[in-house]
Amino acid sequence: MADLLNIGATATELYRQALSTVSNNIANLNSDGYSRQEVRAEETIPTKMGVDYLGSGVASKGVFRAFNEFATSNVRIANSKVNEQEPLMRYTDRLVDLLGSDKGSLSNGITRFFASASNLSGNPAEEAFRQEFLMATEFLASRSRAIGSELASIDVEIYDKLETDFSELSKLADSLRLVNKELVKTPFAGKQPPQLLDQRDFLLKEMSSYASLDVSIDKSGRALVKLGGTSNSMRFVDENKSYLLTPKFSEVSGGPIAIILDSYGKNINVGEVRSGSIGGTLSFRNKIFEPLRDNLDILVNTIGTSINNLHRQGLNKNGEVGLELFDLTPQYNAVSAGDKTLSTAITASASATTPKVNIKATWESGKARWLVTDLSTKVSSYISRNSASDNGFSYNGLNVAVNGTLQNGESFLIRPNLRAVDNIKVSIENTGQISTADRLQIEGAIANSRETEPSLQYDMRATALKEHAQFDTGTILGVAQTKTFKSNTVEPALFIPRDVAGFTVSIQPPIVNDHQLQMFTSEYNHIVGSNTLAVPFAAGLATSKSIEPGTTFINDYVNKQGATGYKDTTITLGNFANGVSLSDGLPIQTNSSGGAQTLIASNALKLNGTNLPALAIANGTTLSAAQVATWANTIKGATNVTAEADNTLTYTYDQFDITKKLSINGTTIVNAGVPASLEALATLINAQTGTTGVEAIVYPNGKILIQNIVANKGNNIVLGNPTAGQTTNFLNESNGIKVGRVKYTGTNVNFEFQNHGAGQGKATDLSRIGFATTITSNSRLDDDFLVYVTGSTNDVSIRYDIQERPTLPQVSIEPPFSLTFLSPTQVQVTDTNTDTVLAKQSYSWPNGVLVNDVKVVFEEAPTTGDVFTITTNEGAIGDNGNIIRILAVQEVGVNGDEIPTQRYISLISDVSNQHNLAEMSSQALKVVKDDAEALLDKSVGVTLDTEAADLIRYQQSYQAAAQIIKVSQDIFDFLISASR
Amino acid sequence: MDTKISTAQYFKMMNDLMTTQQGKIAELQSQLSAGKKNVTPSTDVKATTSSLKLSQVISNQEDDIRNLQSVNAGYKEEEAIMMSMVNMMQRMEDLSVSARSDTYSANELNIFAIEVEGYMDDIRGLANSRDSNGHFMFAGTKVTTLPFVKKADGSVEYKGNQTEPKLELDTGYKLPLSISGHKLAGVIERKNALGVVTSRVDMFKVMQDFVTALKANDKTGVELALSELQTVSKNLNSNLVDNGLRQTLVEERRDISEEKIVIYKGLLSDARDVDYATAVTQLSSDMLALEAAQSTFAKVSQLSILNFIR
Repeated sequence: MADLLNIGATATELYRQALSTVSNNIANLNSDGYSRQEVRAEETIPTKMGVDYLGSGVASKGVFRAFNEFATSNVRIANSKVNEQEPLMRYTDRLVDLLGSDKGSLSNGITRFFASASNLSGNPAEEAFRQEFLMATEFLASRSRAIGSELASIDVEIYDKLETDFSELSKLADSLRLVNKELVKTPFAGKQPPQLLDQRDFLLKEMSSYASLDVSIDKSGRALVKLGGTSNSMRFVDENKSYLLTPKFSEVSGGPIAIILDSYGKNINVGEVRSGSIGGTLSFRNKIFEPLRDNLDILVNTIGTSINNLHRQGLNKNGEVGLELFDLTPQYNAVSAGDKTLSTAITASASATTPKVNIKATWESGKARWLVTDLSTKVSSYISRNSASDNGFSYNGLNVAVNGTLQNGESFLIRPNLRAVDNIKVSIENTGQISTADRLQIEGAIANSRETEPSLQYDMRATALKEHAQFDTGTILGVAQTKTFKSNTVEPALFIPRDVAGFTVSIQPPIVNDHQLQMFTSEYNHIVGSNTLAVPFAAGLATSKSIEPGTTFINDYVNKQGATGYKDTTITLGNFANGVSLSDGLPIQTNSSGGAQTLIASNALKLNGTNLPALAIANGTTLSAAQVATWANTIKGATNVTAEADNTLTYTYDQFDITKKLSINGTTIVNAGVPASLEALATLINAQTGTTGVEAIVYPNGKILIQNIVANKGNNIVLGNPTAGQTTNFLNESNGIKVGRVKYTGTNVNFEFQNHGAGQGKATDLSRIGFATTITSNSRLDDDFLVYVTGSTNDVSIRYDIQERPTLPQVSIEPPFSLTFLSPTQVQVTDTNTDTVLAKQSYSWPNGVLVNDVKVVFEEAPTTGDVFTITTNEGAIGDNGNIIRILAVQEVGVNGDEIPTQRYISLISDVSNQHNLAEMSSQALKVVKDDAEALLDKSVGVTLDTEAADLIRYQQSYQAAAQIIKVSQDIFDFLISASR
Repeated sequence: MDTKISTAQYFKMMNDLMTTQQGKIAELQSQLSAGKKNVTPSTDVKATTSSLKLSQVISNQEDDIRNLQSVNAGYKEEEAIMMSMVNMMQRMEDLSVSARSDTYSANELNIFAIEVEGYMDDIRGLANSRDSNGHFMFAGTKVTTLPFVKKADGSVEYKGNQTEPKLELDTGYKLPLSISGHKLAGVIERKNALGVVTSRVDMFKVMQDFVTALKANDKTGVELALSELQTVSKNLNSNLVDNGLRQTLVEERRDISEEKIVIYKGLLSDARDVDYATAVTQLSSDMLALEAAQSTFAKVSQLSILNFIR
């Protein structure tokens, strides 16, 4: 028979458990992460009574935790996404508030600047308006810097937030590790204590608010966690451990932030972090904040440099060329390498021209020196301090000053702040330095036929014409080179750009190639060359694209120097030297004409201004250096130049071809026996000196000199090979005549042509005596030059050295010039300082006349004889030409067509669009999250009403079960008394 | 469908609803008290960006007006000076008409000459006028250089330049700020008997030659002076017309700018200012909703079976 008492006892036990579980549910109504629990009951195994089975009571299956894996994971995902939007909204709000306030916005500064410029343009001479302009300039710069420093503090805030978030995430991960450790004690998830599982899920949910997570639960219920989208090797909570996740900030300001897993162990870069507050913060920084800062920089930089370019082209109140209005030089920041905070212990500065230096400097107090690492090259070096009393140092133009006491090993990152927003300052100091005026003025002559209302435009220089030249020298200024070019071309061989510090151009044609150098300005003004150009060349030249269109050929200045020369300059042609001039080895020039032959005509060349006589040689002879020296020395008295001939051959032993023989001046020197050393060869040569007039000397440095005896100095030496049919000899030289060279000594050794333009004195004449023909200019000229070679159709080798453009501290004012209308359709441009006709251009009203940078335009067409003079502006104080041009910067496109203020407003709109987007996403995602939470809540939430009902239910069941015990007691009592 | 909801979740939801509603009301309230939609720039970004744009345009127009006013003052001064010159020219023309007749003796012509010399000095004085800032008005841009200088021989030389600074109002719209002394003094062509231009002179040379002719009792000279004085007057008058034209233009531009300001200010107000009627209505409706939420929450939240277990 079934045990009634036992049935009652198990039932009361079960319902007592159930009641306490319900009570626990009620008690944990507000506990974080609590999941509802319930006691599940089951029948105990029935007892067999004959053929029947009798129930034997109830047993507890245990306390079960309500659980929904799918809903839990959904809540985590939704939580990550909602939290991602939060920093996006918060920071974009901050940005809009910062950039968009009525008073503090940069557009207010820009507007105020241009408004004051506009006022100044209406009253350029008035001091009050100048002051207003200077103040508005200061306001614009300080507005920009203020915004820059606010942005920098947001940047720091982002860093701080990321560090805090990561440290919170790591703390949670560590707690999860402890939970995992407890969970491992029970091998099956189903048997785990519900509290531990609650805690696990709660921690995971908290973690998901920082970043999107990939969670896998193993069979004992442990949670293995990695950042969403990373590989299993990047788990930061695994079966046994948790690892630190830390942000690694770039050493370069604004550089990318790397996320490092276990920086002291595995040190793995885990890549990007998706969603969560960390993901949101990073995406704000990378997609909104940094681009905004860059765009603001571009904006400020564009405005600043555009205004600077104009400002320094104008004249200030005192008629001086303007300075730059804004100083955009990068400033250097020193940051403590340890904690990334701006350090006041040291300050760094550099001049505007210093290349950007990015360094890490560490102080070594023991040796009182700095260890400096260049962060771009990673090269380290020790730099000593400035002096025993000054711990500062200099590195690559960067000057570092120390303001405090340094600790050993203290380390700083010193880097340029390249942000124009932060760097912009006003570089002028007083109102007198504001360049309101144009740099030039134009006056019509009183005698002009009528008022033509001329005006000037600047920065109008035509794009370079040099692209058509055979060689674009623009890329190799400052390097001497030699290159082969074609002759008689339509486009020039060389293009020499304006404003270079000077140049030389040389040719040394073979004597059979009668080449001539020709040099023109791009305005078709012939400077150097032949008076008469060959017809085909001249015809080609007229169509050259390198010559400015509409210009007429001018040849008034060909080969002239000084007062009659082009712009009174001293462009020279010939071969000029100071002190000593050594010719090349002379070319072989043999007379086989049958009579005497003149190599250089009388009076073709001049040496130091004195005519040289004819250079002639007898029939059957070859010109020697000695003859040339004698020739030059005939006018020694007038030139003060002494010529000395020399013909010395120098060899080392390993140059010799020991299979060959040798004769000198027809006498055999090396025949059967091979001389084994230089000394042996010298002995052989010196044995024949009496016959050959040639001697040999061996120097201890391993060289042998073969030369004429003193009496024969400078004579030709004939090398040969006694073996018939051989063309080379023991010296490994071709058989034939060796001609020497001539050394000229004097204060100046200047070879010039008598009349190069008329062909009296040619490049080949100088080639005959071993010299090149060179065009030399030593001064800066604001003309583009075109160099051609005419004459022989053979290619020509040109050696040229075009110096670099000197760095001009400021725009220089053009030398004065005048325009004379030769006819209504032709205008002559004259340099009035030197009275040089620069160009004759065709003219067609209303087009302008372009002279270098400046374009002159007329309201009404000028007529024949009208003269206009363009000079430095004398009325700078009352002129507003330049300030009007500065005013036009407000219409300059910063990004495509957007003008500065518009661009600024667009930047704010972009940020606010991002904000709106984040807000909308946030609202949508919140709904998703609410849904997910509701779903989860349905499974695991505690409802007071349910619990109250359960309470009553279990209480009643308990009472009933107690009654069973009572009945059993009664039966027992009854049975006892019945048996009494 | 099973719509089971846990007690904690229920409280949380109700709480969320009421906070949101309260936030809305707070925002409306701050907008109402500030009178602006964008109490901070981020509250209404659209209002912020459009008010930034519009304030800029308005400030530009206000500057234009300020500028035009000061330019116009200059024009008026210029006009007054040229009017006086024209009057004196008229008197000199009258003198030249009288002088060419034989009515007046050489002595009387000498007295005429003294009068003309007086006018010449007066006109030179006027041409050397300074503006309120002490700058010469007819010196081109050389405003600190005395423009018309009398030389020892009595002739007058122009030391200014020919530059006439222009005011740029809107892009491409250029208005000369003043006329140069060169244009004021004019260029008068002298022709020979054949009508060929032999030289070009200015008004001071004309007057100086007139004086010389009067002193020398040179009737041909006086005759020439008469015709040249007429040309000078014509030149002055054409400058006056030009001046009047510029004044009209400036007035027109000012009117346009003022109208623009009115329009833009209206737009700015639309963009930025709170529409009280709408905002107050919205506020009442939001408050009503909040009250409803609060009162239902208060009642519903008290319901629990536990209250009935006694």
